[in-house]
Amino acid sequence: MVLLRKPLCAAFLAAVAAAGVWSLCTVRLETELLPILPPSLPSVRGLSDFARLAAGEDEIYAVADPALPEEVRENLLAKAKAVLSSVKGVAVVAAPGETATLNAGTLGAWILLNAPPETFARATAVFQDDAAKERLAQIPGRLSGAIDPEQIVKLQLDPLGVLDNIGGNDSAAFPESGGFLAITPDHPLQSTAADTAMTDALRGALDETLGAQDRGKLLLTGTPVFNAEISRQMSGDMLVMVCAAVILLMAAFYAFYRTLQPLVWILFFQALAMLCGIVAARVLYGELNVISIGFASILLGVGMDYSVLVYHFCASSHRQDMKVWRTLRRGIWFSAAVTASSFFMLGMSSFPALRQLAVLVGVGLLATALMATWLLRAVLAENPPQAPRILLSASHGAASWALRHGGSLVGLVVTFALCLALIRPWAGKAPLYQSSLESLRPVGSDAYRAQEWLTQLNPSNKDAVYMVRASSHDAIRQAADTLAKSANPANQGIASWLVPSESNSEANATAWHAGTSDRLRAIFQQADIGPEWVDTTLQLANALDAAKKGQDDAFQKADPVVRTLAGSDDGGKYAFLRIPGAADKPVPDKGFENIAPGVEILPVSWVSLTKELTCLAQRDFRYLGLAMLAAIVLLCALAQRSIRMVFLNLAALVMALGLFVGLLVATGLSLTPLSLVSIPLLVGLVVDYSLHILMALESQRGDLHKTYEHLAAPVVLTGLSACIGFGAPALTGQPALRNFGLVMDLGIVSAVIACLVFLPQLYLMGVAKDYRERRFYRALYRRGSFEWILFGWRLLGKAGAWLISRTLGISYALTHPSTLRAVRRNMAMLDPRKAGFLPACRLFVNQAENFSAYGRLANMDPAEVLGMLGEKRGFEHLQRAKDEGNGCMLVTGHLGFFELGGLVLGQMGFPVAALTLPEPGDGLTEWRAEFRARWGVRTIVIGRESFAVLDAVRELQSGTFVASLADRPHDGNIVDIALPHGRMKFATGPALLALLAGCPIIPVAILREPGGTYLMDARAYIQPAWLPEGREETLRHYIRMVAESLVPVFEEWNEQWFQFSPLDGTPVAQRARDV
Amino acid sequence: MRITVATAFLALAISALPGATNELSHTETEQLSRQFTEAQRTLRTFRANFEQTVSLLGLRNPTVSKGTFFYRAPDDVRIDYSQPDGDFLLLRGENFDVAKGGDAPRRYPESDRSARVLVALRKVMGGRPDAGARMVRRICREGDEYVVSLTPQTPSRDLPEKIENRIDAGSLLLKKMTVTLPRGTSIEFSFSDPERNAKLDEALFQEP
Repeated sequence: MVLLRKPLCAAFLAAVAAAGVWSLCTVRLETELLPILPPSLPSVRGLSDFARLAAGEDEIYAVADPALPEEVRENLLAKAKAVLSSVKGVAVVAAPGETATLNAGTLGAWILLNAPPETFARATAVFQDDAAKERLAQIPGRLSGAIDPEQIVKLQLDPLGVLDNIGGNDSAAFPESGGFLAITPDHPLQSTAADTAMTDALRGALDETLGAQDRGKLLLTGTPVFNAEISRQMSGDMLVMVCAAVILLMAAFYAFYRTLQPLVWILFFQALAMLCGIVAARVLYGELNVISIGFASILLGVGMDYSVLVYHFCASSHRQDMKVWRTLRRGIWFSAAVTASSFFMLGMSSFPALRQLAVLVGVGLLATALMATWLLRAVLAENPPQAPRILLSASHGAASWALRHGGSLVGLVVTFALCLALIRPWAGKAPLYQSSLESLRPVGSDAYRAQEWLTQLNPSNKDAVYMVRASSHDAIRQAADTLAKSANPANQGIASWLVPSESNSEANATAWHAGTSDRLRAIFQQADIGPEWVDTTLQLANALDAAKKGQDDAFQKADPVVRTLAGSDDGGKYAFLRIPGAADKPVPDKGFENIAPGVEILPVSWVSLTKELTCLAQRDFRYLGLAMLAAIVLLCALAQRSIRMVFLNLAALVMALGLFVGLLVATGLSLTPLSLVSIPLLVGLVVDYSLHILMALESQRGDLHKTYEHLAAPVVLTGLSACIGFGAPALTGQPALRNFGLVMDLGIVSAVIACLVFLPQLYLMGVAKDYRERRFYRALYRRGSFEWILFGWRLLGKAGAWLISRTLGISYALTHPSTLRAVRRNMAMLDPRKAGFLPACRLFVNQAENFSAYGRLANMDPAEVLGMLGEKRGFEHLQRAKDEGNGCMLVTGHLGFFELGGLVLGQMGFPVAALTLPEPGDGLTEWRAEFRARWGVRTIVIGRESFAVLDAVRELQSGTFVASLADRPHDGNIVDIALPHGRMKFATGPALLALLAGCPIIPVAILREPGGTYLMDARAYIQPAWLPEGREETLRHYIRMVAESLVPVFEEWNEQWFQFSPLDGTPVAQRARDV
Repeated sequence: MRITVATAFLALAISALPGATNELSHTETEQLSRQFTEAQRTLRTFRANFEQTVSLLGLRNPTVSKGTFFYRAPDDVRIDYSQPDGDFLLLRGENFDVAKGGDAPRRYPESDRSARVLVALRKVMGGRPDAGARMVRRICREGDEYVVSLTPQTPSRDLPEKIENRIDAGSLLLKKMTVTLPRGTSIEFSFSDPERNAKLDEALFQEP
């Protein structure tokens, strides 16, 4: 254990382990949904308060299939009630309203006390002696004649008819529903285990009692049942996912590196990094919520890359190369810093879950980077691994393929994406994002099905429920009607008589006669009526007596019902109000405005919650997106120190997102609130990959093979690992998890393809290509184009050619900035003061003029070419060579219209041949040879025929003047030449040919004068001979002499020195940076 | 209540098997059910006197009401009370009218809960009684009566605790029906002087 031998490492590991264990033991796991949503949203507060204050969290419901006939359903429930009541741990099993009936007196008293004083007076008038006795005397008459059994029950419950005076006919007030039983445990269910035990006991009892034909017709639901189901389902799903992920991950790692031991180390350090995140969660929040648990996913996805990169480096042949290591380490740290910073921006989110996620991922990523670059490297340095050679060859093969077909692939994908974008509006597929929480619905969940049944059975499920808060219940009462009309102007009002009233209760309590219950008891005894008739009435009177005395427990029996209606807490007074039929649109478009001062309306609705979340998420997305982008730009700029590199980072992000959207469209998948986490993961992966790849491309000077050698395997393996890890949920039976797995995989695939294939293409496309490799050059520099020039000249004449050549020259300069930059750089080596933008543009125009001159030449008689010649300098050197009859090596550069020199000399009677390299375009070499032949100039193509050199020597020996260009060497036979402000290479070939043929060398230039004629300048007469210093030195010597003659001409006529590629040997990446 | 009364009348027919002294077999019950249905389909009108006794726990004296029961095929049923005089129940097509305590009649749809008894009676009289799946039926013979007992398969607050019918073994006509409700309440109907296909006054079934 190398780590344990290093004190610092050992101390660090011990500290992380200790803090991690402490955090794991003490951190609270928040599984509820509402606490992780923004508490500022009215619907979140409404639902949370409703769950806290009104709903029984431990209650379980046994619900019968609403499709069953009513009597079958009731029979089923009756059987169930009998058996469920006997289950251990069950306190009460009751049908809806059953318990309310038992405490109807107390509930009636509560409503009565809060009723308007006139209602209270009318209702309590029956308690007066005479009135009570008269009502009791009427009982036999009311039981005779036409009777209804239900009326009998009602009469027995309320013989004095008190309840008739306090409302209760409003169906929205006490929504009735049948078809289910409420099961109340006799102890609080405080853990998932307790939930599971209770649920299992109830299910077991039902299965034993119900026949096989009835199973599935009566299901359990409620918070404990959901907890039990989710717990069991997660256990099963987790087992499948973890097993599948581990096996596939091991297989993938083994396939790449033929070993599994490092994977154990990598996972160990990943686990430690996660512990660091959990420690942060414990210290900062004290809890982990269901969304922030996703941090593990993001950490595994992004952080795994750091470890694999380090492993790949340690397993490569460059493991001793500290320069490569420093580049890699810098990349990992900047990647971690950029991704962590962008996640820290999420800390400004309105969503508590995202704020936690931000901190956890940020801390986790920094910890992963630390462990990968420090501890993992220390472990691997102890026993350096060896990567299989096949990885190297595969990387090179992939690089070659990317260079050959990458551009086509990018084009194909862009076309595909455009087609999808065009098709999408007509395809009618699923939207890209489904905000509905319905998409998280579990399949095969009995609890969920039972909940749906419950909703169907509950006639109030179409009602909108609101929690209304104010300083007093009186204020809530006054606002109730305004609220109803605000939700829907057609509404007449809300059953506000269920809302308590401080003023009414105070007035009514004062008006109530103490001791009424005792008096009534005496009247009942006198009437010889048994307790079956008087209990409810006495319960009501007792409660009012107790309220009169100010007893706090006066209405305790009615609490289960009252708490669903109103109450008070730390936030003040509250009441739950219902608007019938408004469930689908609980909040009007304009919101609740001006209901009443100091009254707050909180919808208890998932419909309004979804809308509020969507609005908030859109707002967050706008400013957080900008903040994250700013963080990424800032840190990428810090890491790359190049605007272009930052642009490439962002371009990779855009490409990955575009590809991701394209894949979503193509597969018909939609983002859900759960799979939205794929977006930050995608951002993290792209930033990570793009930083590494761009740094490597820069470091390797644009060499894609070397870049792939370092990065292709780790990136692909990381992507594969992440795909396996995130794709594992797709194996489960839950649509929400399947969607999560598939969407995450699409995001990862997009990141890998965008960074590994598209990004290098973009990098190379922008800066790395020589102008000769560009499509424009390849497309136009061919035979057909020259024929078009000739045709154009015939058609448009000199004026047209003048205009077109200038237009094309300037256009090319402006549309090829990198070529323009190369030209300026070359010009600057001669004279920096004459290397400006305009001189460079003029150079392009001059080159266009040269091409145009072909048309001019073609349209004149060969003899007329002499008319194009202006001043002749050093003609004596040419004449001397001709006179000596030994031939001559004419050496020039890509200067002026050098082609003209051969033609003019040919017309002057000089035997001339042009030594040339093959032209890139098909047929162009032949076309130019034929063109020259019109003036008697022969063409010798170097490189195409193996005996071309011998041909050239033979021509020279036969007295021919052979013209050659020396300033663009095509092979390794070169001489380094000093320029006034730089250096360049000259080819030694012309000197060698002259030495072999024993002929002189004449450096010569043909330059276009301002007047339109051409200056011929033969610079010197050089007679080469082999020197005693040897062959190489002889060649260098004479070529330097040639260069000494030509470079001043280059300097003087720099706007006609046509060098479009960098001559100084500067690396491509360096050139890009300099620009 | 719908099922309760329907089942009671079905049981009434079944219990008319001559010579039965013990609980009827399933086959005998089914056979009688068919016979009862056929017989009721030939019924055009029906008239009987009845006495209604309501007993409630907590009340010392039961409340007795008297009156006449009328049926006219296929959809009309009327109960006229003579004690207290003036009360009546009239189920006529889709309307259910109730007159009580000298107040003006109140009308309800036939689907109203208060119309359940008469709706069930009408079905029985028309020979199309409900099956009564929630009740356990037991038929015994006691002297010249069949005693049909119906109890819920499982206790339910929506069902009576028990229904007991006493049927004349010779005429197959209902003599007494006792409905026991929760909380110790029972309602007893005693029928006398039954007449099948007697001529009834058309005014009985006119809209009040």
